[in-house]
Amino acid sequence: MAAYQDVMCTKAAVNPDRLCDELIAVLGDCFVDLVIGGAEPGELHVILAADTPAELIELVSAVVSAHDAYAVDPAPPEPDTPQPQPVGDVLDIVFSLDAINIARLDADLRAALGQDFIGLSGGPGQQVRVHVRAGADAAVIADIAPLVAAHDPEQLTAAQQVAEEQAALVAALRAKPRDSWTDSDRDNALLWLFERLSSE
Amino acid sequence: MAWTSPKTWEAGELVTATLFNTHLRDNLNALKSPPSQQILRDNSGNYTTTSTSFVAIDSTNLKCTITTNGGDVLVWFVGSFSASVAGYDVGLDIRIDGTTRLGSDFTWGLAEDYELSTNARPITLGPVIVSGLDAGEHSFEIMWRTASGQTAQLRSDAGQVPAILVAREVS
Repeated sequence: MAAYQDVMCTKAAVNPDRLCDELIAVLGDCFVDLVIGGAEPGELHVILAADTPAELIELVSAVVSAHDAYAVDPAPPEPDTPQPQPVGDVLDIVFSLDAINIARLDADLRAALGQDFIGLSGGPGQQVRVHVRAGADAAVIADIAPLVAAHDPEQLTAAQQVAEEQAALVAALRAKPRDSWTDSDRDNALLWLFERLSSE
Repeated sequence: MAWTSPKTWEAGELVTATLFNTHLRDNLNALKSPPSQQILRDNSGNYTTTSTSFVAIDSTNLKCTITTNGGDVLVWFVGSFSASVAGYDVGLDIRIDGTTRLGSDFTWGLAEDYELSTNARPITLGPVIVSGLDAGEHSFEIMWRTASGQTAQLRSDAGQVPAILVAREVS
């Protein structure tokens, strides 16, 4: 009489430790060993005690068949690592524009749409994305397309106008020899320096 | 090559080629080449945003997608940022699988520059560990925001520098 029973199965991929645990969970003390390998591709042998009941032997192939070699128990999260949190929804409305003054369009949309407007994003070769809160009223969303269509990239924001005037001022001062500066030129230079320093 | 939990060997156990291939060769191969993606993004110009909430910089081209074996993923990002006016702010964060933001407990995300220059300066986000992910496909996007009335810019141009995003499984 054989000391053990050998049940041959085939399985393309096996995690032996996991499969042993799964076999023990079903067969209990009747499970003796798992031997992987043989003449056939994916061949494995489940070694059982000689007195293993027939109804348990019949379960071996089902356990092997259900085995997932790549199943992984998720690692517990590290306590000091920040965990992801759900993000509030942002609705993106996409427009194609040939040219855009993003600061000006942002200012126009912010003034017209109020709190529902989050901002704009874009770049060369891309369409412009208008970001609004996902819960924004349909009436607010309907206002966006006409505002975008009316956008004139040549129109500057107040800040852009100031920056342009200051750039022109600096260019004029640079072009002028220092010993020919007037009192007005010196005042303008001081004012420009003050604006720069106070904005830092 | 997928990772397999290493077998606990028993004294006197028959060692087979299949076991060696599964637990040594395949696992060493998995450690040598873990799931990984690096993006050097050339957008042919600056990305810009005025958004006051976190939005994706580019959901198509600045997104790493890897299929993991389960566990932790290291993510990091480097980009050169500037502003149209000195002193503007930019915040950066990582969105996982298009739904969850890693730094959502923080107003400005995981990295911030609150004194952007009109000349581009590099900002590095991470490396940070995104922990406890299930086995399977996962995406990692870079998000950004600025303050109201401000415009932030990210360089991404072959004539200058790329925006760099990396994701690599590490456990």
